[in-house]
Amino acid sequence: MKLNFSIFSLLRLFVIIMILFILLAPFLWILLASFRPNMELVRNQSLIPNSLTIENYVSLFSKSGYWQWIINSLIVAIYTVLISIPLIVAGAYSVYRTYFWGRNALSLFLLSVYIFPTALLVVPIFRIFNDLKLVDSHLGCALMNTAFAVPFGIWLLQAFLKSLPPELEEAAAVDGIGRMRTLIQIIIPQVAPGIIAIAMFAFIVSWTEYLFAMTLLLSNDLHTLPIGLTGIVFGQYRVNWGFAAAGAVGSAIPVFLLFLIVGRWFIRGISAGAIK
Amino acid sequence: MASVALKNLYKNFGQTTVVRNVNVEIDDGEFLVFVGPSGCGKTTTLRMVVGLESLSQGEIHIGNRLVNDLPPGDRDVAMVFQNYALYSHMNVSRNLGFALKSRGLADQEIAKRVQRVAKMLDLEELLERKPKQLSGGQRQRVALGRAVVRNPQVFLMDEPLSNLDALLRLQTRKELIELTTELNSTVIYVTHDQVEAMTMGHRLAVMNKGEVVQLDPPEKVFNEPSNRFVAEFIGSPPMNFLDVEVVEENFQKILKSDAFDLVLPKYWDSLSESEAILGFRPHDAQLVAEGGVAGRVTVVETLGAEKLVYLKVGKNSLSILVPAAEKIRSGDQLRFDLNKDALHLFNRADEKRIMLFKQS
Amino acid sequence: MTKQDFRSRDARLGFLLVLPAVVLVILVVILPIISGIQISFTSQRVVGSEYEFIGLKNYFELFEDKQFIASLGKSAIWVLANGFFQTLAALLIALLINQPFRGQNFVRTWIILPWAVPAAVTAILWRWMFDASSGIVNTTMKGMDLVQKPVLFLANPDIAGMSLTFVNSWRYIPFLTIIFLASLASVPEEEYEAAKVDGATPWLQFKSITFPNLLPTLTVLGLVGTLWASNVFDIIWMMTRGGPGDATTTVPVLMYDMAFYGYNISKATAGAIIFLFILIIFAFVFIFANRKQFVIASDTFQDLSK
Repeated sequence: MKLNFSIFSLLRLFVIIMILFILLAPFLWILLASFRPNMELVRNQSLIPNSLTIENYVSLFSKSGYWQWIINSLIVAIYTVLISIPLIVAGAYSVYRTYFWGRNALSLFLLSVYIFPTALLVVPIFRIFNDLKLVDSHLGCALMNTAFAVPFGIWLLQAFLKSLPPELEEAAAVDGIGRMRTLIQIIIPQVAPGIIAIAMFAFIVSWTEYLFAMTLLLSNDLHTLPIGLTGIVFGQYRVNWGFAAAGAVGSAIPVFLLFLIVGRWFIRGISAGAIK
Repeated sequence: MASVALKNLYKNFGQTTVVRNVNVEIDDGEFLVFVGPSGCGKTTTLRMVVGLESLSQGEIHIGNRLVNDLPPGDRDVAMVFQNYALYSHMNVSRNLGFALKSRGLADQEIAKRVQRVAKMLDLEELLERKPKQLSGGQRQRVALGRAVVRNPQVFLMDEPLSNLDALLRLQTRKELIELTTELNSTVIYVTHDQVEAMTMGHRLAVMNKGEVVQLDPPEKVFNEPSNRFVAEFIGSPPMNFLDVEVVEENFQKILKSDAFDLVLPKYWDSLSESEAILGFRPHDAQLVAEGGVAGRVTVVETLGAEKLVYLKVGKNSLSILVPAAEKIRSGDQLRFDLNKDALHLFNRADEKRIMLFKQS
Repeated sequence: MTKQDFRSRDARLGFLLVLPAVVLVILVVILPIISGIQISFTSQRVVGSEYEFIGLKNYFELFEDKQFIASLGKSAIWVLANGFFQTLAALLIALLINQPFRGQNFVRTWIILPWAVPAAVTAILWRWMFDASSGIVNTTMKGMDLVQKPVLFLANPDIAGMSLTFVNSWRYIPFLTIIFLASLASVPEEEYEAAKVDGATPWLQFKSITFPNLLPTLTVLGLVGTLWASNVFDIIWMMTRGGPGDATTTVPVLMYDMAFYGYNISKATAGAIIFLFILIIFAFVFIFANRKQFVIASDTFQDLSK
């Protein structure tokens, strides 16, 4: 029995390592590649690099709009997070903690965002945003991202909100504390980890977004990272892999840092603090 | 503090009526306990008084105000919840002061009142702690303190002791009695625990199926239960019941069961029913050497100073309390007498107490 | 006689709180759809050009368009392959790493990285990994003598769809896994303990405890994940542009290509509306079939009759 058990554990460990390898090894591979000269990447097929260089990064940092793109991406992401959080918290509180006719239907209506074939309706979106003077503006882009972050964000917050006892609000009501004040001073502090998680979710949604940025941001100096990156990488006749690798690493680093700092909050924040 | 009057209260959830025609007047400074099994409507009644539940019909007065349409916060009542509902991100001091602060009291006044309550409830050492760092008993005291600090007209408590372990519950019960006596508070208290109800309440409102079936001081509820349900629910171990016929022989009323006859005292002479339910409490029986009622022992439970003996008497299963020193085993034959002045008779049809003018 | 209790009093507040989200959804979803329907009835070819009302002509054309019909089929396969495979794989991975082991926290945090980087990075990563001559996958396979000549992951029409499914799954499985993990963490520990005391086998524990507790999550992910998968555009566009040939041309890719490279906005929008209509029917059927799981409103307020 004991032996069987440990064989099972070993097998499980092996599978976990395999999964991790498939999911994470490409990042290490691209990191390595970003320090190799392009010519070597094309000709030399060995795993071990012959020579290392920072020329890819030099051209990324100094010859492309990298810094501008990063700043633009951050601006859009921060807008998205700042607009999303109040909408998500208020919406989730409304749907999961207040009582009004049709709240179920409303929550389903919100999820209907994802029915929307984004790639197909960029034209009408462009027209509407043009009327609202939101074309070629980071805010407009952030509003689109927010619309796609909010419904799932509301759903993500449910475990947390549902785990709070209803007596919290009742106690506050008996003590004469207004409903808004209860939400802000009692409920929100209790769901803080959940809010961190949805903030991360909204950030990632915005950070990875491609289509709306491509459609709505016309000026070059407003382009976000994905747009700029695809422009220089896939815009050329032949892909410069060394340079592309450096660009990929440069785009992944901010996310990497984000997860390094607050990553462990992510699951914790969407599972009602159930993770020890 | 203020009096509270519940008039004609009804509560319907859809088709089901969970509170029916509740009429209770609670005096200023009175400790009134709603007691009954789960589902009897006691918590709903309390929630209607607080304002967390709307009324389907009836009136609620607090002091001289009709509060039917007032939101909970405007009723000047404080509530202690079963799970305490402490704000877990605030320390004890802020938990105690939060209601006052949101009412716009000056910080100095808040601090003063928090200090006073903390002293009263022995929370002074804990003011900086978060609820997570407190024991169950301490949390309970904070919940109580949060109510006391507001100095409300009425305290409403929903099973506030049921999350405590047995020993702590006894101790807290005593403290709660002392505190409410000291403050001369009007308290409406909800519990399913009849011992708690008996020990704490100035009066009990015993509820069953949405109705108040008896509203009396504890002694009266115990000695003169208004119906079979109250008789069975209040008192431990519970009362025995058996069907009897009432006959008259030689100008005496006699109860006949399938196994024994019992001559009733004189004051029952005007009894008119020909059949009834006889009720007696296990401690109203004494073992006798001969005569009395005979039965065969089925189970013996040792309770400490006493033993609870279950007997088969005719077709009925009864229980009696005997001194622990008695050596009794299952299978033994026993004889016991009943204390004839502690007999309860209930109507067979509606199970209501048969009341006669009793000379005592 | 008043209905002014604690629950109904906050109806207005509840409605006001959710209103901003609803307005935003109307702005970016409902209005564009209405506008899209208008466009689809016209002959407009590029944004801002002259056009006239042509009724259902675009729709009739599309129903006879073999490329469009084919793209519907490809989308269906794409959704099945991605939606089903991803959900199943994510569930299995979540179950696998839910049991404590050394490094569990590391795995739980970093497993999400593929989802968190822009699709552009994913495209660069895998286009290069899949590259025929210098890609690591091919060089490794060749080094191990698994293949004689390089596999054209993205250039072979028979394989390109699978390769894209793999890459898209690589991207979304981590996120789904995390959602499942969160859901698993909310299963009360006592239920497992009770089951163990009762001697339930792991399979029975899964069937009678884990699965019922996961069901609401599974249902929502089933719906949202399917919709997400059906609308995937960026990865396909950046990796194959629908090629080789039409091998990976799903509806979104075809419509985008038709609108901006085929200069036929109105017809592309009509295609979008047809696709949307199919998705709406799917969503309604799905929600109706699983309506019990979608009653997500606060059960916390139900149990008051005690």
